[in-house]
This record gives sequence, C-alpha cells and structure tokens, in this order.
Amino acid sequence: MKDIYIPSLGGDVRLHKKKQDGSLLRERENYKKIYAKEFSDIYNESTLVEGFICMCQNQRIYIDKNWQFVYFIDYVYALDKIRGYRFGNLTPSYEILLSHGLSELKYSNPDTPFCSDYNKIIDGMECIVERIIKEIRCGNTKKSEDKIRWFENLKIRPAEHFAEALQRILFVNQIMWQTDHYLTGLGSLDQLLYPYYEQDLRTGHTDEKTAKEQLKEFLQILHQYYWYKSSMLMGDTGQIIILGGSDKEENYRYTVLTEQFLDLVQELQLPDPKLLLRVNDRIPEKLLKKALLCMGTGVGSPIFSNDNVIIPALKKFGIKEEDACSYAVSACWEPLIAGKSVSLNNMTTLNYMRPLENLFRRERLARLGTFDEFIECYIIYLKRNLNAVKRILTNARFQYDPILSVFIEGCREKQKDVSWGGAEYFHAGITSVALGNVIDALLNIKEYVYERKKYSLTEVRKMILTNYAGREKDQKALKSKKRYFGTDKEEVIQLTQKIMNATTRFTKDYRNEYGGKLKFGLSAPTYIDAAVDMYASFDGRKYGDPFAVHISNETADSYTEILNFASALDYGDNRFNGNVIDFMVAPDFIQNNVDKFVTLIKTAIKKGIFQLQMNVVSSETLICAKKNPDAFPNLIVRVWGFSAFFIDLPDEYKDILISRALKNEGKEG
Amino acid sequence: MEHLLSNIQRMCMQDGPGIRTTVFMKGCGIHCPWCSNPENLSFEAEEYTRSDGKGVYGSSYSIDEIYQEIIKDRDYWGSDGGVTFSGGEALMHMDFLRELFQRLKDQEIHLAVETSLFVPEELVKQALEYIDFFYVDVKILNVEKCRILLGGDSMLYRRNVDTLIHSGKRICFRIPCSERYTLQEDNKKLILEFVRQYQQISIEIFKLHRMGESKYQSLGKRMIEDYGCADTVFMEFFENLKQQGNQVSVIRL
Repeated sequence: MKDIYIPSLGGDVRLHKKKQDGSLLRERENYKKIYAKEFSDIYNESTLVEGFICMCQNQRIYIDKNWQFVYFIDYVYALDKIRGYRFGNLTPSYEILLSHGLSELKYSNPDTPFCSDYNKIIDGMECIVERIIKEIRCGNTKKSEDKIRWFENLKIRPAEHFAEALQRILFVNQIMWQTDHYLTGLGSLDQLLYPYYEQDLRTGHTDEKTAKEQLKEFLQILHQYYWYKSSMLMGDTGQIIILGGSDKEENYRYTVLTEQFLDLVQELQLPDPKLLLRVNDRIPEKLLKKALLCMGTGVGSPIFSNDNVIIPALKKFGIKEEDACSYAVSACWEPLIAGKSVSLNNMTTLNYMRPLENLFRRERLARLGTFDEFIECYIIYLKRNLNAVKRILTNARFQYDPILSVFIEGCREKQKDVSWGGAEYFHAGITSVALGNVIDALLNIKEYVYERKKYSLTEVRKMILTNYAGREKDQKALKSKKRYFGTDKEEVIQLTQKIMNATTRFTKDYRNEYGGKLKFGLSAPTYIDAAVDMYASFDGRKYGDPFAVHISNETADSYTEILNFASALDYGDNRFNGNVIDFMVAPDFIQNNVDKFVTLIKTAIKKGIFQLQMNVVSSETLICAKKNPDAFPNLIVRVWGFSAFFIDLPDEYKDILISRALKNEGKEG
Repeated sequence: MEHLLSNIQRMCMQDGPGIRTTVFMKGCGIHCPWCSNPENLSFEAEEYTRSDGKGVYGSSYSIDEIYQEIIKDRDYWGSDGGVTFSGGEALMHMDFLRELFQRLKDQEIHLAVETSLFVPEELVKQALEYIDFFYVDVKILNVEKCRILLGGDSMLYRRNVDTLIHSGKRICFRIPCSERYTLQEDNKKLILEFVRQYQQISIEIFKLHRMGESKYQSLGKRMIEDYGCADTVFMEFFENLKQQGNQVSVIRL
C-alpha cells in the first residue's frame, strides 16, 4: 500500500507504481473509505451545503512550488455522499467564473432557501480563495505575486489575462472534482481562452512562447490526479477538451490555440486530458493533417466529431441554434451544451441483444414464418425493453446540488437548483450496446434459416441457449464469417436503420419531469459488462463473451466500407447521443500516407459520418506489452471513449484490443 | 461474359495517385520466381487449403458486378485517385476489360495499371486509349536470363516500354530489388543503363518481401528463400540511380 499515491499531498500521479491487474481503482475506493471517515463524521450530520463549507474551511491547501498555477484536490474532504442521482459526466460553465468575480455572483437578497444556499456556496469558495492567498504569502513559491493578484481578482472581478483565465478554469475544475462531480469536461477552450490570449499578445502583456509554456503546464496539471479522477477504469476521466467547430454560417472556426493544443498533446504524450476536434466539410486540410499526425503518434487524441451531422440533429431536437453551434460532449462522445446542460447522457444502457434473447426464450417460434415477421417480433420485444429503460429514467431522483448550480447557466437567473430543472437543458440520454451483434445474428438467421434453410429457428434457439453444445463447428463457422454490421451492403444499412428508427418510435414521446426528452446513440462503454450474463448469440458469440465495440468491423474490406456504412445512417430525431466509428490503425500507416488520410477523412465528413476515433497500435506491440508491461509504461490505447495507459487496463480489455488488432492486420480469422 | 478475379481491394494507398480501388486479375504471362501473388499466376480457379478451411482463388464477375463493387468508393478518390488494375498481368485481360475501361473512362475516372509489359504490342496500344497511368516493372533485361527466369521476351518488353514512352502517358517504373535476381551485377548494370535513357520517368524501388508466403503454402507450394537484399546493396542501388539523374523513391509495399 505504501507506493499508492495520496492525492491530498499533491504531486505527480505517475509516482504511483503501475499495477497490471486493474486493482488500482479498488484500492482507491479503500483509501477513500479510510481517509473520508474522519470527515464523514461531521458530514453525515450535516446538509450538503454545511458539508461544503466544512470542506472549504478544512481541506488541505497544497501549493506545488514547481508550478506557476495552483491546483489541488484533498482526498479526505471529497464530498462523495450520494443523495439521489449524482450529477456528473458534464462540463460546467467556466465562462461564469471567467466573466465574474465570486462576490459578483451572490444574490443581494438571498430570500429563498436556494438563494441562501447559493450564497453560502460562494462564501465557501471565497474561504478557499482566502486560504490559498494566505498560503501563497506564507510560502515562497514561483511567481507568488502573480498568483496573489489572480486570486485577489477572483474574489471581486472578471479575469483579465490569459494566465489568469487558465488559473480560473483550474479553480472551477478543482472545485468540481473536489466535490466529486465525476467525469468533468473542459469545454471549448480554444474559443474560450482566445480573447484573453489575443489581447495579451496584442498589448504585449505576454508573448507566444510564455503563453504556450503556460498552456503546457495547464495540461500537465490536469493530468495529475489521473488516478483519483478515473471512473470505471483507469484513464476514464472525462477530461475532454473540445477544439474547433462550425459557426452559424457553417464556416469552420478555429484559433491558434486549437493548433497549440494539438501540438502540446502530441508533445506531452499523456492520455489525459483528451482532445475532441469538431470538424466539418470546410475544415482546412492543414489542420486536419495536424490532427491526424497527432493521432498517428498513438496518443489517443483527438477524436473527430462531425458538425455537419451533429448540429442539424441538435437543432431539430430543440437546442437553440447558438447553443447547438457551441456543443461539447460528455466524457466520451455524447453531445451536450457545455455549461448549460445537465443532460445525463449516460443514465443507462440499452442492450439490443436482450430483446433478441427474450424472443428466443419466450416466443412461439413456429409462428414466425418469414424473416419480416421475425424482425417485427424482435421490434415488439425491443419496445418492452425500452419501456423498462424509461421506467429507470422516470424513477431517478437527482441530488440537490447548489455547487454545480453555480456553474450551470440558467440556475442563478431562475433561482432554481439543477436538480429542480434550473439548467437550460435537462434532457436524458442513454447509450446502447450490441446492435452490431444483433444485426449479424439477424442476418445470419435470414441467411441460414429463411433462405438456405440450413437450420430451423428451434435449432438456433437450442444453439443459443446451450452455448452451442455439440455444435462447436457451427459456432466456429459463424464466428469466422465476415461480419455484416459495418459493411455498406444495402440490406445491412436498411436493417440497422430500421432498428434505430424503431428505437426512436418508442422513445420520442418520453419526457422527464422537467420536460427533458430522451436521446440515444450507438456507442457504449458497456460492451464487456453488459455481455457477462447474456446467452450466446447467432453471430457466433459465446455465452458471456463481450459484444462488438461501437461502430466497428475489423473484418470489413477497408475503412471506406465502414465509413460508407456509418455515413448512410440517419442520426436525426433523437439518435445522436454518440455514434462513434472505431478503427484499429497500424502504426506508421497514417504517417506514411497522411495526405491520402486527409482525403479519406474529409470525404467521410462530407458523406456524413457522425464521429470517429482510432486506435493506432499494432497487435505485436500490444502482445509484447501485455507480457512485459514494464517495457511499455507509456503505451496509450483508446478504450471506449477515452484514452488510457495500456498497462493500467484489466486483462479482458487488453485481450479485446489485441484480438481487434490481429483481425485488423488480417492475422486472425 | 464473366471473368475470373482474385480480389477487389478497396482503399489502396500504394497503387497510384490518391486513394484507389485495385482489381486483381487472375492470370499472368510470366512467372517471376519471387512473385508475391502466386494465386494470380494461373488463369484458372485454384483450390487452396488454409488453417480455417478450404476455398478457391478466383471468382467469376461480370463487368457490371465489378463496376458496382469498385464504384462504392468513388467519393474517396477525389481528383487524383481512381481504379488500378493489377494481377497477374492486367493487360493480358484486355479483351474482357475493354468494356469496363470504357465505362469508367466515360465517367472520367482515373485509371491505372500495374504491368510487367510482357504482352503483345497490340494490347499495349489498346490500353493507351483508356489508361492514364502505368506502373511498369523493370526486372530482368538480359534476353536469355529473362526467357529462363521469367519466361518473357525482353525485346518485346523494350519495344512496349518505347511505345508507352512515346505515348506521353504518365509512367512510373517499379523495380523489385533482390541481390540474386534483379540486382545481380550484370542485370543491375543493364537496369541502370536502361533507365538512364528515361530521366523524365520516376522510379520506385522496393525490397522483395515475404507477404505472399502464406498464399504459396495455401496452394501447396513453397516460396523461394534467397530473394533478399541487404540494406547496403539496396541503398547503393538507390544512390546509383540518383547519381545518374533518375528521380527515385523507396516504397514499402
């Protein structure tokens, strides 16, 4: 236990000794219990607001002398009590604290309980600021004068300069993590910071080199506490920075900071923070090339998100044009409006395999005489499943959260907490898993049962429910077939769309208690977890084996095949809650063909893909790294929507990546 | 009319300008000892055996079926990409391909072939009507050795190269490098002399690889062992070409 890093002491998270069995997160939970005990005695007896005040007064102020910015999280005082559905997986409005001093945010007449709580939260933050200033004065730290001025300003007035703006963003971010808002995003920093940057350079307040150094330190600081911030797996931090994007006229806008973020992430080679580059068909090829070269280094960033498809979908869903044009994403891919939206984008997962399994277990198969009848029957079972999903959403109760309310636009004006619908947007999102496996299974049923009549439905049921007992040959044959899902055959696209449309049909009328609608998408982190108790399926998948990842197909003829597939799908209505294509790419492939890759991606954007991420890694490296982790401490991979150190992952995730890489390289079935 | 193809490969990055779809025709007029596509030597369908089962190299396609498959990637070709015909020897299949070439040409699709040019002169002349870009292999130039090793007529080859050069079409020479064969001292000299006449033509050189080995195994054949080329020999050849004024680049296939 000694080598475990204790966040309340600050320092570099990489100090902790890497473990290969994924046990770090469990140890973190133990630590949380031990260290939080002292605090919880006070906290258990108090309201969240009192707890927050107590935290502000008592948390350890840690100022790292190596950095020019102040950033710390004290483990002991993490406010992690869950009272209702916890808000997280979102991006606060950093803008609020950039354009206001803390005291300017307070209500002058806090005559409602919410206003009073709101002011108390601000009081708490002022208390931390005072304590930070005091600590800086005590210590002789780097650039003390600057720091003191920044924090003095923070109390009373908007940020004035670039470095000060960086410090404020760090402060808000720190408060969010300290109060255990998991998966806190960073928003469109290239846009948000640009006015400060431009003004400082113009007035000679700073120069390009200094500013870039500051930005680098900013990223390094955010990478600290990697362990603490990780959610389901190491690296799953949700620290995503959004870059570039369309304006209202559909022009592509980006700044010099967009390029700097790409340069710095490429230079630092850290999996965190992660970058998402919003793209459209007018993106300059120079920028796309830079992004591809960054991705080609294997750092896991950026992922691409296509404004040509996403913005119209958001607008049609009811998001104001201005907000749609400034969308960010939750931790992974699900679009949301940063600072205005408490959309819980991943409230639960729809498992598309469940209805198919239920159909086989419960349905009188003899009545399904045609493939069309079979599909209609599947859709009836899908509807039942979606009813269960909607019940889960309706039953959710949200945590009263005046801390988050300070950083979400709409709450202050409406004098309403986020949990009472204070935010501008309060939509609910679900992710989905296994549609690829279902499409493969359904089209195999079409081929082998209805067309070639090789098996009866009853035989298929038996194979599924007995995990292919005595039918290993059939299982192997199905497994080694080229997959349907993710190919550009018309019947595959149509069937996929049909099931997506049915999902819309059964979810579009849903409203939560604040009028929020329900959206879904074809990407999910749960491709392993959701599959553990699932019977075998007729795509050759055996009992409990993982589902396929997002929109992927390693058996496809080429990337163009899956790009064609994904861009043929209609993501309108409510089907836009993250739809990411996931490629495996051999190292050097991008570097050796970068101009052609630019053409490939730009064409895919024009054709209408939704999002795209790549794992740039070879099977050979992954296999070596699994055997000999010490030799590959810095190998980065993309897991679901996040990038992480390969050696931090549990074996089951490592194995999936290895198997996908082998298939991609044509080395395995 | 249907014809045997071994593969239609989408999104090829090394088969000509831009992103391309490459059509592999089954059947070749020569037999290079180092051939990396042994499944495309015979004009007939051939059964193979791999660890995951038996299968057949070669599927019959009609012109329309090939067209429908290759046209799927049209959007990705942009202004410079297109379709490349390889093999085997693409030009040996001229009679079948002519209709397809015409159909693609009518749509202003950029067409390339990878050819060894050991084909009747008439076929080359016909291809000139459609093809925008020619990859031309430079292999064994001594008349006798060419006949023995490849089964080809090197005088015919030289005449065909001449025809192509005079057509003004875009051409790129490709030289597979192997110490025992192409870079064997006498042949290396002949190659250097040969390409010296064509300074305007770019040259791509590459080392022979073993990527075709599993295909040999699947056909119950063995791939030759002594095909290699030391870095020093390879780089010396690269320098020789540069020194005599050729535009040369190294590619990795």
